[in-house]
Amino acid sequence: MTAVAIRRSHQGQRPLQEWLYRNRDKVLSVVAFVSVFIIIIPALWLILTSFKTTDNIFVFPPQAIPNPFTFQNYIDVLRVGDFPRYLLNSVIISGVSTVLCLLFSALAAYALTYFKFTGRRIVLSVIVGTQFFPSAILILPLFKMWANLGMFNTYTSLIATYTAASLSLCTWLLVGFYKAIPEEVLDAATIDGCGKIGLLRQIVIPLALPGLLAGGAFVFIGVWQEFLLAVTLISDPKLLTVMVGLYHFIGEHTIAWNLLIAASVVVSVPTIIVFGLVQRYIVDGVMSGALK
Amino acid sequence: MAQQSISNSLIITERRRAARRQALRDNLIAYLFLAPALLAIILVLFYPILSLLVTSFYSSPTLTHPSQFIGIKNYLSVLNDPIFPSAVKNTFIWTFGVTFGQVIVGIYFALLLHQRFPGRWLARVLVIIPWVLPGIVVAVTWRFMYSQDFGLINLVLRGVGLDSLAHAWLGDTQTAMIAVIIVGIWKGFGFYTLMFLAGMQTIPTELYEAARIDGANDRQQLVRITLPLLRPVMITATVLGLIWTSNYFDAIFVMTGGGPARSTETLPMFIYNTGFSFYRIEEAMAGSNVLLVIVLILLGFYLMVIRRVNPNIERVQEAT
Repeated sequence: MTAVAIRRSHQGQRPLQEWLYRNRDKVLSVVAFVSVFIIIIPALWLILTSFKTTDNIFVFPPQAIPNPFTFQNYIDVLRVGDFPRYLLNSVIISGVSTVLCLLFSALAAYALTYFKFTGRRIVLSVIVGTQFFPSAILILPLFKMWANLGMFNTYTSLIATYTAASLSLCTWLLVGFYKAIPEEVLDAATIDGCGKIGLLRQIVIPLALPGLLAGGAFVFIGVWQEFLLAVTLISDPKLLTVMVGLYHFIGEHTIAWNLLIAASVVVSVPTIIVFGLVQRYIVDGVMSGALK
Repeated sequence: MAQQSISNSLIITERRRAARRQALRDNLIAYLFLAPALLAIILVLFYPILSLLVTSFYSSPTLTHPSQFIGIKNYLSVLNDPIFPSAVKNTFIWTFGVTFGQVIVGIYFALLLHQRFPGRWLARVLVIIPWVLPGIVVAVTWRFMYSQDFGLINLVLRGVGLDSLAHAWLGDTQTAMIAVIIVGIWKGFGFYTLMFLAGMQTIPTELYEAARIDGANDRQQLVRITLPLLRPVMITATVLGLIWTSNYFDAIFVMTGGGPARSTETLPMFIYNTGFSFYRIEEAMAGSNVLLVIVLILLGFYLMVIRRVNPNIERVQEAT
């Protein structure tokens, strides 16, 4: 009551404030959407441009809505040249890395959650600590190591690197999901004669499935987007990943803008879809420091 | 009596032995489960870094001279590189410019999107798009936006009669750094928005109700409740952001490659260029180790900070 009274008397003196207060919802809505619109202009512009003919990309004054509206850039990028090959490379590299990472981290998280063992703190800090390794400090060491092993320009070098680098994110996320499983369920299974491995296979993994899916999604997208290690460890044009392939549309003197822009939209689609699917877990991922 | 106590102590030792066997078994099983992950991390991440630390003190082998110990010579050559001081300066400008901008824009959107209004969910989805987009796509998008002849920014400037302002934003040493900083802010502020939104959800609504009863207006509630209670999240996120941003150079790599005239060359970009554009691998290795030391110092700082604000962070994590 008092609050209302105070507010009324306060606003009585200022008509603008009173109007703002009464239309708070609408005003906020307008402010928010204008702000968000300004932020996403570059992304919108990229999408609109991808449907323009090559000539119309450079026309002045610029077209807001592509006219004629064409899919030619997408057809060209997906049919001509090596881009489909890059897509395949990326799917293989991201897919294998994700599966390996999930397998290793499902086991590691099990040990970290349910076992008391000597050196647990050290193991935990080794695994979690690596998530703070920026790729900038890994490029040269990894380049040197894989070159010395004669594994420069192989899928294996990239897959091993990505798997190891993603383990901390995935393990950390899974420990959280494992801990959420009620102890009674585990105790009941143990009383029924379920062994340690049976417990993992039959109880823990099925119950932590959302965690595995979220972790897998984050790893897949992380690897899909990775650029610096991919550009350092692979130079064979047949083995390039999509992100490096995208970079190759930028030539020494000319840029194939129509192809570059269409390809940019194509490689963003999987990212957007996966993020949409695991939207619920993004905040968990952010809070655990796993997403950068 | 005596017999009973002997049998008792026997039982106790027997139990202890069993417990020890159990502990040993647990250790063994635990490390079996951990083995694949630990081996991968040690062999693929720790080993190469340590081995580079060692080789950075040796000269590179040539046909006539085998590799030999040369002490800190590689480090001296990187520290004496005339570009090194400017790379350090650029790293500072880039890191603080981007992080500061990200926090400001991040908190603006967090405050805005924390309010209730129709269509809030859509605004929340759209606002994190820049953060979700692959870094290379972001770099391409902005390279296009900044382009001299047909970039949207110059087109708009020409459209409103400010032709004199239109120029190659990324090709001019005066504007290249600010241009890439804007891209860095655009790409990453969504992280802070998400962090702050999650943090604000943990602030009890009773506090606001009490404040309102006491007659506090929106601004007072913001300054006296929201911002102070967000401080732990803000500090943690900012220190983490400083570590990542100082080492992030995907966008710089694709937009300028460190140019023009090395005006956007941060430390990681400098190391990359030294190693892979000028093929001075030894010097680049030393530079990479200098960067490693910087990252470790920042990490130590982060751990110190996070421990100090730890209780609050844990509460945030539980709530989300």
